[in-house]
Amino acid sequence: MIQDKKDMALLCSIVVVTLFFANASIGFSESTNKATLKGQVVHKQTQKGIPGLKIFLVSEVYGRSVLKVTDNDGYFTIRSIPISEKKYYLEIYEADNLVYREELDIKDDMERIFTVGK
Amino acid sequence: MEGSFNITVVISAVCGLAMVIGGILLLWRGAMSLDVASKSEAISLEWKRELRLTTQYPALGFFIIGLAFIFIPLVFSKPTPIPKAKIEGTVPGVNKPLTLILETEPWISGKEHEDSIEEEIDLSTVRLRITLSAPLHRQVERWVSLGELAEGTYDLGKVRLQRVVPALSKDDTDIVELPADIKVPPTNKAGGFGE
Repeated sequence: MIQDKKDMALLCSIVVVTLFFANASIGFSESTNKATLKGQVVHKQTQKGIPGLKIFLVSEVYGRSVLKVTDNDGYFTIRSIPISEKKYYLEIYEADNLVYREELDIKDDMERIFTVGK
Repeated sequence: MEGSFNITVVISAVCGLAMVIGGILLLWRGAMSLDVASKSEAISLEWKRELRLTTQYPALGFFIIGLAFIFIPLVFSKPTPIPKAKIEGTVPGVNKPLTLILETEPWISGKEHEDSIEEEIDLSTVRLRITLSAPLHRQVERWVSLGELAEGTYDLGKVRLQRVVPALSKDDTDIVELPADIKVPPTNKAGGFGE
């Protein structure tokens, strides 16, 4: 009987410790499975930043990202991008005209320069 | 404060329901009737000797007070709609679509706290940055406080955007094709992810 109680106490301890570490690991993965893409859009000829261009990331899984617009120096930032096994595509629009689309493999925070124009 | 208000609203609604259901039960058991009662049995409600309601139909009075307990909290618990503001202005000489971007200025409290936080924020002083953007043009910023926006209409006036990139020709080699099996929403359905 006493042995049974000891076994039960041991089992309960194992369950509690397992749940604690499982919870901690879930919390850790949730806090790290998002990435940030910082970019600059520059003109192919002048190599200067282009303001006012619309930026989207598109994904087979998550659809179309929030709209971002390049600032006066052509910079933009998209935060909270879910890290996925599937590829993303970065699209750049001048008004409604698509001027650039590139496949991106986002596995971590990244910074890139995108060159557009002729 | 809001929590105690919500509790009061729920208690009031529960009391109202109890009165209505109780009234039905009393009618069913014959303890009350829908007949006219004598003046001595009439229900009378008086508020500060200014308002006095008397009914010789106690059962109906029971229902009406019960219904009032149910519906008055519904009226008071209705959320106040957030007021809308209008931004106006003219931007001559730009033959490209304009985009308006609103961002709040970070609000940093000067107070230091220990283990509990109590802050009073004067929302009318919180400022918004309005950015006017058009492709290939230098953006223009204006700052406006929420207090100014709350007045209804904020007039940007006449804004001139300077063109900084003469033209942007598309290079078709810059555009990779999307795989045929990928269906993505159109640009007006953005916002699926990211911040």
